[in-house]
Amino acid sequence: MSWNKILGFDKDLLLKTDAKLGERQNYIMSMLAIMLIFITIICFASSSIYVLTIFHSWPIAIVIALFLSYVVFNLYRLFIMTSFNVSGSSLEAYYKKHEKHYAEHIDMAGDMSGITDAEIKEITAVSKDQLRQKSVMNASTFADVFAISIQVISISIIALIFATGIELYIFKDQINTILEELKNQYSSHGDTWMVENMLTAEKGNDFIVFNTNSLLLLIDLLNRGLGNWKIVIDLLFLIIFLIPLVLVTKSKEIRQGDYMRELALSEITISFYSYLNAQRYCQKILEKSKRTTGLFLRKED
Amino acid sequence: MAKEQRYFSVLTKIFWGLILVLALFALLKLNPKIFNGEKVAQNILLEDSLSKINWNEKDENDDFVETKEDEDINLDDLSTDDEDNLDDLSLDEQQEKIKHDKNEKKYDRYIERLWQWKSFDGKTYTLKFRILESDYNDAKDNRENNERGDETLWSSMYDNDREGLQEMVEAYRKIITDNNLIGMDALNMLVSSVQHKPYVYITNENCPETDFGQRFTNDCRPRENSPKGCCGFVMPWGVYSPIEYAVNACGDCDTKSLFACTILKELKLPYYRAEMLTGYADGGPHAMLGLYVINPPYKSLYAKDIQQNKYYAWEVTAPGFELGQKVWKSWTNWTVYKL
Repeated sequence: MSWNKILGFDKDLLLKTDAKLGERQNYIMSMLAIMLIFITIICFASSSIYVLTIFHSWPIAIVIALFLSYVVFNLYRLFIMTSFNVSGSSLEAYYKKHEKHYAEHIDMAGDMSGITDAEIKEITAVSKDQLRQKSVMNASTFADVFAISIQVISISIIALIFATGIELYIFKDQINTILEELKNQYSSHGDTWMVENMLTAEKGNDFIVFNTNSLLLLIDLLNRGLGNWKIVIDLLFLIIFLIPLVLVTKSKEIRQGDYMRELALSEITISFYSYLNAQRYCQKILEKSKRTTGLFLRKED
Repeated sequence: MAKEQRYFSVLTKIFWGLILVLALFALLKLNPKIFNGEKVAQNILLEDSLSKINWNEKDENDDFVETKEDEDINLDDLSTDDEDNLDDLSLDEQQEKIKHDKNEKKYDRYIERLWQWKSFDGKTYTLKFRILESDYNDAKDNRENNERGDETLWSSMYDNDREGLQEMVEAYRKIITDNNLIGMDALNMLVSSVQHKPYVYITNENCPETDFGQRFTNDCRPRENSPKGCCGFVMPWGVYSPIEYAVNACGDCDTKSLFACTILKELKLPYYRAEMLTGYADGGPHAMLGLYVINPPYKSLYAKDIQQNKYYAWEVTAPGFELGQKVWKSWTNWTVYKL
């Protein structure tokens, strides 16, 4: 299965590149997609733990966990796709100002009303090949500081929130032992409020994962039980969540790879094709209006 | 493998390695022994009980106080003959008689004291309390007849004096409830009352003129300025009992620490445990108050008990020092002594 499709990866863009390099790019994108799927699975599992603690219901837990993991998946996909750019490479100038590319292949002030579809296709195909030949993919691995800060902070917050859910599950038995001890202690002290409201399941329901209704109590127990190890485990999750973003922004194989170049070329070519088509129809309309009204309309640049 | 490819491969391996480790722990229920839940429930109970103290609930010790108060009223009802009989006796004979009649209590008189001090928050507190004269004499006897000069001396004094200090303990408790003091605020209020009293050197020998950099004079009273007061020939071990300190307000490190520790133990608030700390500070033997609390304001000085609980040290000989604050440059061989 082409996992890379979930990232919006278009395999056809690599038809004109070396087959081996194309295969490698295909593998890289698939790997990124699988990483993203695993991160989504972590978010799903963690959300389920949280929701089960609050609602004690599997259907509700699955629905909310699916929703939350879907949000995280799309947010992360957005970060990955917006990191695909050609900043720093020779293509950047053409990518930011397409007219520069057009001017190298057509007379921008010339008459295009008689141009045919076949000619447009040829012009754009030739221009694409020429631009490919003269382009050098030396895209910078230093991304925009502001953008990358927003991405890193957002992913870090997500990672730390969902890390706690998984940590709760990993240490479920130990936490339940403490909850049992707390229940006994509170009962012996006659503290019925704690026992009834936080440590006893509602009538007709059973606790599913943890023997408490309080998520805050669970997090408190986890923090106290793990101490500084909580920070270590949180860091592990942070690394897991950040690796795909680091790969997209720092890996030269991606930043300076054929896929990135072909993606930029494709977008410039599509834009060029549309420009030529638009110019042809504009000039036809202009001629027609001149004939029907007899007025002279100056063509705007 | 090209450098570019290696970067991707290494990061990918790290990613899958971490996923594998977490999956093993989560799915196979491996216990990495990093979760220490031993004291978690206990600590939560200690903290949580803060808001649930029923101050109006009286424990069995309160009965003792009430009995004495009742007897105080009965003292006014004593027949003139009884009072005359007591007045005819010399002071020693009175004390002897009071001691013999301790079980009946009807001849007891109260020693009244009024303490006023500023706590860490700048607020002035006033503590009015009474000690039964018979309890004072009993405490003095107990201290003088103690033959063991080790730390068991403190346990002996604590056990003997705790009941006699109940009215004072209740007075402290009233300040806490009236001012709604919780946690460290209550502890600061109490310990500052001890710190506020000027240091008086207590020794079982003749008072020195100077010792550990301070000047002393043979005057067994609290003195604000130098030379400081000194109580000589306090036999047999150079330390006053808690009741004696409450009455005379004279004390050095071990006397003051023992008094503070006794009051804190008898207050029975749930968010700390109080014990005595002994060791060497700046080369000399020293005693401090030790408190096991969850979040001390400072964590510089502490000693551990057998269960490795940290008892933070509190210097009570002078005002201004907070719990766990570093006071001494050297800090060696400190141990927790449980009363």
